[in-house]
Amino acid sequence: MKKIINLKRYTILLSFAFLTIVGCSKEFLDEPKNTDGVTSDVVFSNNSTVEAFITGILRNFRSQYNLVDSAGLQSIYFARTIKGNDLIQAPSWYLFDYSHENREPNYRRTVFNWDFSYEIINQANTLIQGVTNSTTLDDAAKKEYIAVGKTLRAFYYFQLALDFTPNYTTNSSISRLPIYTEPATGESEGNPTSATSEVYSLIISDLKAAIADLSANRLGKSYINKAVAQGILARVLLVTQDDWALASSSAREAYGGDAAAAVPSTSYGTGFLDMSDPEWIWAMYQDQVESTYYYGAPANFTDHISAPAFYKATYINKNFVNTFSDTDERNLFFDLYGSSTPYREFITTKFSFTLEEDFAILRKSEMVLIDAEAQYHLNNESAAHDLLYALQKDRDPNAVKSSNTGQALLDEILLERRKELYGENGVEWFDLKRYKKPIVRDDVHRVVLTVPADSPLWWLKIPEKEIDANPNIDDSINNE
Amino acid sequence: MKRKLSGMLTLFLAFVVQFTFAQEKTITGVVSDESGLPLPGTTVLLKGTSTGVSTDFDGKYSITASAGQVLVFSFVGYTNQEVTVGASNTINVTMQEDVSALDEVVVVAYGTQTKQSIVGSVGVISDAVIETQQVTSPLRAIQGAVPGVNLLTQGGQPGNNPEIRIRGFGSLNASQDPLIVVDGAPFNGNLNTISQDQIESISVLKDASSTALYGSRGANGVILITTKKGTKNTAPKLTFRSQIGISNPTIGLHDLVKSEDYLKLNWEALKNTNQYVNNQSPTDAAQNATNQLIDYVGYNPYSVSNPIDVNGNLVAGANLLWETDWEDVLLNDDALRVNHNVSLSGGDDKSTYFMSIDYLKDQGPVIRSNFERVSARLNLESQVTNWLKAGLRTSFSRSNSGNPDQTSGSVQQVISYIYGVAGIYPIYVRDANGALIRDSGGNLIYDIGDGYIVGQPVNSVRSTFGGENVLATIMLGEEKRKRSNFLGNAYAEVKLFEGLTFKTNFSYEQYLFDLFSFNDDLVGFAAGIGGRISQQRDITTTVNAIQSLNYNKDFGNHNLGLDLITEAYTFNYDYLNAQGTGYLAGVEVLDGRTVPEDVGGNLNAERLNSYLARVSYNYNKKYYAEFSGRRDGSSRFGSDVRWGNFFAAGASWVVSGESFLNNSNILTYLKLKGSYGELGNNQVLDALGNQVYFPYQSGFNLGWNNEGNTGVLLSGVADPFITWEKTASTNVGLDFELFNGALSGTVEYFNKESIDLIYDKPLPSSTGVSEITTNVGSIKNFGWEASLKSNILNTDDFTWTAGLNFSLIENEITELTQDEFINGSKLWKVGNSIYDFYIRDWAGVDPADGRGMWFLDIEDAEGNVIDKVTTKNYNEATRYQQGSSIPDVFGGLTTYLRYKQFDLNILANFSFGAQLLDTDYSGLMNQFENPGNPIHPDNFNRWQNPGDITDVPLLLASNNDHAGRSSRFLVDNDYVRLKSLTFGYNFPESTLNRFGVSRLRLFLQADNMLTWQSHKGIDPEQSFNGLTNNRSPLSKTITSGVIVEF
Repeated sequence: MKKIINLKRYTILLSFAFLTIVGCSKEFLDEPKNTDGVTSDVVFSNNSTVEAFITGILRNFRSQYNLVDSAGLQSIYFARTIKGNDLIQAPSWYLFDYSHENREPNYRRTVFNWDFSYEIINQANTLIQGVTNSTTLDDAAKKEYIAVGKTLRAFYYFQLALDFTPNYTTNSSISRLPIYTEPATGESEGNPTSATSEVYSLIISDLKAAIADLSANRLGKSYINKAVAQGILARVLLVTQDDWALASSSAREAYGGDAAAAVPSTSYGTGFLDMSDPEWIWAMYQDQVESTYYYGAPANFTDHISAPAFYKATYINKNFVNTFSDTDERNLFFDLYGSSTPYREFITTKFSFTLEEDFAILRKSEMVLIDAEAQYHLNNESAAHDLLYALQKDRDPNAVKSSNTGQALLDEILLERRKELYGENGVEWFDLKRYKKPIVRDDVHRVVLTVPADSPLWWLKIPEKEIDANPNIDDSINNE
Repeated sequence: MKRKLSGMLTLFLAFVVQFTFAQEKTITGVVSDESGLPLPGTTVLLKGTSTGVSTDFDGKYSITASAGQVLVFSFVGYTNQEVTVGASNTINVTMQEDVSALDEVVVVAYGTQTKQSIVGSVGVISDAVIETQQVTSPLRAIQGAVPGVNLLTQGGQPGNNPEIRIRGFGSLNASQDPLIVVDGAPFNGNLNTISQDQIESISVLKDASSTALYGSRGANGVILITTKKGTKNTAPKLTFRSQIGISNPTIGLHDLVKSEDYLKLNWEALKNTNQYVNNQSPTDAAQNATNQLIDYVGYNPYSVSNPIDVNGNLVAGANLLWETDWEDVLLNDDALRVNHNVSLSGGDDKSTYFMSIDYLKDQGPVIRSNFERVSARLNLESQVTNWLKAGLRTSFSRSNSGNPDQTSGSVQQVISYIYGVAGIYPIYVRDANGALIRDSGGNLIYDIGDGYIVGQPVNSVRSTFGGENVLATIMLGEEKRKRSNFLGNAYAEVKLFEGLTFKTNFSYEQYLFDLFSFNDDLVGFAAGIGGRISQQRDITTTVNAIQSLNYNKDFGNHNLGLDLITEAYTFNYDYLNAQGTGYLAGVEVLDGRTVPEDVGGNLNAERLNSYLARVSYNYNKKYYAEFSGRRDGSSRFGSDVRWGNFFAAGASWVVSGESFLNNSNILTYLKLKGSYGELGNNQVLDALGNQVYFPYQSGFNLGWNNEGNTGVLLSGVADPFITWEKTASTNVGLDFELFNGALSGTVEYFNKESIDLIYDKPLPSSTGVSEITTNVGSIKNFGWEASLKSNILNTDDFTWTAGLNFSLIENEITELTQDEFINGSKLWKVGNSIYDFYIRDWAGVDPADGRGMWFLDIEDAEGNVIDKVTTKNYNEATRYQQGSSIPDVFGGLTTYLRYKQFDLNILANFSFGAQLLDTDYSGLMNQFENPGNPIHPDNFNRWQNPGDITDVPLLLASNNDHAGRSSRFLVDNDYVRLKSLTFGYNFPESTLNRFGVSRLRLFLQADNMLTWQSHKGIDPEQSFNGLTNNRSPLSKTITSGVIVEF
């Protein structure tokens, strides 16, 4: 009897063990699911999810990528802004950009501009490839999304070319930037560099292809449509300076063709913070729940008055202030501090810092001025006069139509660009670089210096960590 | 699944309950020593099983056994006694003293073993060792107590858990932390929820054979924490323990210069930049520096407008209006530490109980940094019938902690702030003339350096830590952490046959963490927007079920043991956060928000399913062998690659049991042992050290919304085939005893090779992705460990023992898929250790121009180094491999002295041969390029004039690399720390008995009282990789205490 009982115990025990352990092992381990995100199949399955990916890339434009001075497109723009003669930076964030001491291979500026731009390029490549391979999207949608991807890719290759290579018209054969048109995989080892001319070829062919496939429609002003791609192309052609007719037509289509109707802006006097201004073409959006907080340049540095602002570090060169007439609505400068320190004489109230301010990327006024500059180069000086005056008259009721010709006219157009766009995207630095002019700082500056035309100070070195990890790039790339 | 399991269990138990085992009976007795005094705490073990009890305070015990079974009586310091159960129900035993103490019962993987039978490497810390220390996080008690365990605590926040590395560094991007097991179940809560008084013992399992049963997660060692339980047949024992004392920082921070010197040195830096960088004449440079100085730093603490003259001196009549000692206002002095504890334990002949309640209040080195905890435990065990034993262990703990940031790199971090904001900046707002400004209520206003009075030209905007005043942040804001932890562990043991036992163990743990952060409207990131609250609440739940069958049988001199075990582990991490701004004054709850800025939540889950087997064999207690295997499936890996198999084998030989050593009076004990096995690791971490639950999936992350539209963003690339990291571990060693215990110890050699390392392989960032987590390469850790103990004197009145343990550990990368990876300040290539520094080599200061120099290799066309020169261009300087953050030797020293009723216990730990890259210090050297940054007095030694011979370069107020990462800041980090010192007096029992008290002890306890270190100004416990991060120092604590027992 006892043996039988023992046998029963064994049987029960073993079946118990078997049932509880083996029976549901596979199911037990398969049950946990990754809830952190969605997979590639889902993203490229329908229009709304692809648009969510595009949305994510655009949000990343203003992410708190690293620190206050290395946080999104606004940091790239503000670093360029502060390198010129018109604005002066107190010893605060961006102080080494201001003093042209921020280009070494281990410095934050260098590493951030590189990593951030290439990261978005890879996202764009992922978008293009994912959409191309999708079996569920229709052809019309595919065309549009690929065009968006190409615009994004072109825009950031353009930023890289501006920051990491010498001026295009001086030397376009130098090879400093690797090109990728496919998404990264685990096997990616790093491409060799390509000539700057090849980088620009890619930028221009991407933009041309995108313009053909984009329409005026988009989800909002922070998204990409045909006018955005045209505006970027117009800007790119200012650098290559080899197709002024296309620069003009692209700019003209971006601003709508009627300069006088395009330039009126609701932003002057209201803080340059609302992208619903019809004059804005493309912007980065912010609101209470989509804020990059204190990582927002320029407003957090130029605003010395609003309650949330605290860096209060940017001043305006009095010689630049003096170029504005008293009746110019853009004359928003005043002496706040009464300081005995010369550089602290003027601040500007152009930008208001609110944590919710939008950032302008492309505006119609810039397009009108590009058109004017193109007309000048196409020897249509009177067309240039008209375009310039359309803007000047809107900003200043007492403006007088220019009668300048030749270099004086070009200089006037470039000055108008600085007056209209200062603080926004580094217009002064951009123009001096592409026209091979030096930066000559006035004595009023905190750091007085001269950056000769085409000197190495116009570009950043290649980051050491890229050289360390990329078998196709070695130290010699930074030899100067 | 769970319901099915428990249903089966009930059915099964109901079935088994019908049977009884007539031959079993209860044996009782008294265990005493040679002088006839009772021996409480003696272990009585049923031989060949893991069933055992302890004797009570009167030396009594009660155990269920059947006739023919053998009872093993063991007690530290006495020879084991074995008695076979016969007809009598009473067995009284007299124990013979034996200092070798080798039959001590040790908690090991899924059970207990005698020390003699262990074939692997296990270090044990008993409650006696824990009791001599005051550790808010209990595992700090093992520092210096177990060889091979390198432990450090980062930052002084009380309750911080230590970082623990057992036998080197076997992983790159997987966790290097050991697995923590509490009462048999993996622990996922915060260790600081367990109070030290509840712990009976801590076992550290180091080699493959001892950890093999935890194989899948044992690669970095296993720490087993066993909580106390009552003893059978013991009258209720009530113990009260109370300690009150004070804490101070162990180590002061780096020295900083005062205001006058601060301004003078800044003046000189401006002058040098004017003169040597901007090429001004010396006269102009000096005059301009005088004019620039106050504007440059933004604030003027003196009564005159340009306080430093053209010769660099303070102008006559300049009065200092204020000076802030940020260290003084931000760090605590003489902070109170209070610890009270009451416990009750006892048992009858069937059941035992242990209850304890502990209250602790501890304060850290930073103001408002504190930790207050109540923890309670109840452990019950009952021999229900002679074949069924069941038990329950439960604990609950709740803590509240004020946790101002003191270890990160944030601008709201206290130490960063002290090292980032000079004393010339005031605490409170001042006007342009330096007078204090008051608000309408007459109160002072914290100065956050953002221009409180719009347009005030001086004493207004500070560029360093602009918008921030950490004193205000801490005083006006809140950083609170609440933790509550419930742990329940139920087990039942059913004896099926003679020698065959079925055990089931079910544990449930729930850990609730609540992080509350309030930033006031007046300061920092919430200034001007009505304040901000961020709150995070997450629930970590662990459910673990173990079923095991144990078989144990003696065949003459042959003893065979067999374990079959299955384990199912489920882990859930449920996270929720909310953030909002815009609060009315005095409102500090999320309900009051005007703008709901952010809300988030997520659920992460992980599971593990395992099958284990262990066979152990010994012949006549002389030859031991053990073999174990384990198969694990982890949900962290893709279904094709998720299963891993892990095996281990070990053997030992008690040489002194052989006849040729039987009569030796010199070598009284000798055991040789060896083991080999493979272990696994699945704990993939991201760059911030957070767990990655699905490393094989690359996804599009949620939350990247734009213009109100839902957005997702690609999160990098993933290797779909990532799988277990494996470690092959070899251990050989010997245990010995000389002259009957005058000197005893253990010496071991180990070699651990980790392969298929889980590693974030760097990709060039131009690809758009910086790394991919994959299985790459291998690392070896090897070295020696020794632990020695000497009983120097032992008489009735006087006892003196001393112990020393130390470890020599080497780390070496043995395989990589590419030539080398540069990982921050380290170069990872075959032959290097993972913590060898790879940085530029400082070549001193050029006496001609005061510029710093670094070494540079000159290469020929083939890349061979043909010359070594110096350069003043930091960026072209060559990086060299130099120094390592791994110590050559580390360990601990203990000594115990007793004279009559007085006793003294000392524990020190030490570390020699490691280097530290002190970037806290480099941040204070020559930082004039960042105005407002405080500076170290070493700057006084700067180069001033051509021909000056010094190691400190000229001061410059323009960008330079003098403080860049180089050997200039690589320092030796040797230290010895007097970790604990306890001096006590025990009242004689004869006196106490009259008052009904069985024990009364008064004692003084001092922790971290002295630290000898080769590099001053920073706590030597920083990080294993030798990098600093503005961490606050640990606390030294001195308390007086009393223990009363009834």
